Amino acid sequence: MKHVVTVYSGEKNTASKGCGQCATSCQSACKTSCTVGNQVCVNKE
Amino acid sequence: MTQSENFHLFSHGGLNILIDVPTGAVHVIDDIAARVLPHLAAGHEREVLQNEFPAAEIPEAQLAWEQLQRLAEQGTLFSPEPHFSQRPGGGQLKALCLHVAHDCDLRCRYCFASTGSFGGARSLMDFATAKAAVDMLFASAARVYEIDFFGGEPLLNLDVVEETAAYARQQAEALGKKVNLTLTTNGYSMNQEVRDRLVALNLDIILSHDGREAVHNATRPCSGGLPSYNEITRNILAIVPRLGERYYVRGTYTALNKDFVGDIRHWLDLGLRRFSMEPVVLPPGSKMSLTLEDLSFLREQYWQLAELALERPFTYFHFNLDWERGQCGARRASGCGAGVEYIAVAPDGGIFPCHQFVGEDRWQIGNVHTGIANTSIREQFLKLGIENKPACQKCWARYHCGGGCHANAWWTNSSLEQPYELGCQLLKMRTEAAIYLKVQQALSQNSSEGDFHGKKEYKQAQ
Repeated sequence: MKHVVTVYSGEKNTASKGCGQCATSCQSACKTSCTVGNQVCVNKE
Repeated sequence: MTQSENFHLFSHGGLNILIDVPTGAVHVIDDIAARVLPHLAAGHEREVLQNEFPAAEIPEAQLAWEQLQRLAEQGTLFSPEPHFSQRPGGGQLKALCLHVAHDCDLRCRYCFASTGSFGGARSLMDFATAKAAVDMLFASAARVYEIDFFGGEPLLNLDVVEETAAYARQQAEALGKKVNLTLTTNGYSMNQEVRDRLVALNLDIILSHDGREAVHNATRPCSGGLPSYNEITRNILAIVPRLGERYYVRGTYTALNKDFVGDIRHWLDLGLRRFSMEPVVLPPGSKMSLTLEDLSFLREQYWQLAELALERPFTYFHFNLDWERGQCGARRASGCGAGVEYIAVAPDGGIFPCHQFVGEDRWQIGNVHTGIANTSIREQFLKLGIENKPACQKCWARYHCGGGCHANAWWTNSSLEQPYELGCQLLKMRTEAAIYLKVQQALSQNSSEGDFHGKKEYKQAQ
């Protein structure tokens, strides 16, 4: 019997130093806490 | 970091959801696996199962042990903590919050900007200042820029918004770069002519509205004290069909509407589909302040919100966890870019780490007309990742917020490194609800997990 199901295997770029092109501001919809939501890598589009 | 600090297990809706913190991997496990997990995490020998489980359950417990162990071998459980010496890309300036108006036609009772003036004289930004700010932004080596037209109320200075948008786009094209534009408005003066001009501007629009009529009118009166709900709602409903997906309705909940899911239901009933609803941040003592005592009620609200999203699909900004195009480790560890990658510019050209610091002299970095005068502020913010926030290092949600809002930390604790506790608690609730929603959506699409015990139990319970 399966006791475990993986729904999301995790961010593949965990160790990546990053390109720095992503959004990092409160720009999109929220002016109080900006970093949850729309966690998108612009270079994976 | 111990293994125990690198995973998080929570239960809701008949599901046990297990998160590997460093990678963000998400697993659904059944009750037997949930009981096995602490032993594996503590480094116990497998023989411990003989003592912890009744004889009839031991074969399944052994199986659960092996399956969890396999996750660890694959790197999606108990994964090691990564370390990053700097922000992604080194921390170049990418985003600008342009305070084109330090004035407002509303007098929102919770306004962090002193009802639009930011504690100073009511004023508008001229184009020369906006242009100098855009030039400063484009002088960085970034390839993708963001500019948010903010206030106060930016529609009070729409001519400068239009002129600046045109200039920014022209410069971006000339430099071979990309610029994304947004505008945050209360919508009160958004009449037909203004709506036409906004649609022609082709930008993303954030529309502030607090939901139900009584709630909205209690918190967002006009400058003369009259209610604003009817006018604003009418204006929002008139422009949204012309914006496609290029809008969010953005609300604030306070102690007056802790049942904020009622406000989101109201938006749905109005035909709106893209929302953000955030907790107010106020000093203790205000009748609108949220407190730690409100948390259990608010937790229930976030669960209700996730269930509502399953029932009547909509886009809730803070439930948007992109598992297909998620961000890299360095980005997730560094969090908000305020003061480094993101700055706010006041109408007189004053530069501040973000919109929430505008008007505070001690946080002024410089002026777009005269340049950066205080480099130490940038240095302070450059260090603000989860590695420099002790409270974050043991928090399971650290890679979901990157250390939280620096401004809230400062205003509540007079320390950039000490996060705002109530905000952290709310973020964790919201993140669990977001993950739960994603898991439910994934399980309903995936029929290949036929004999998964946890899912079967869940389905039977429905």
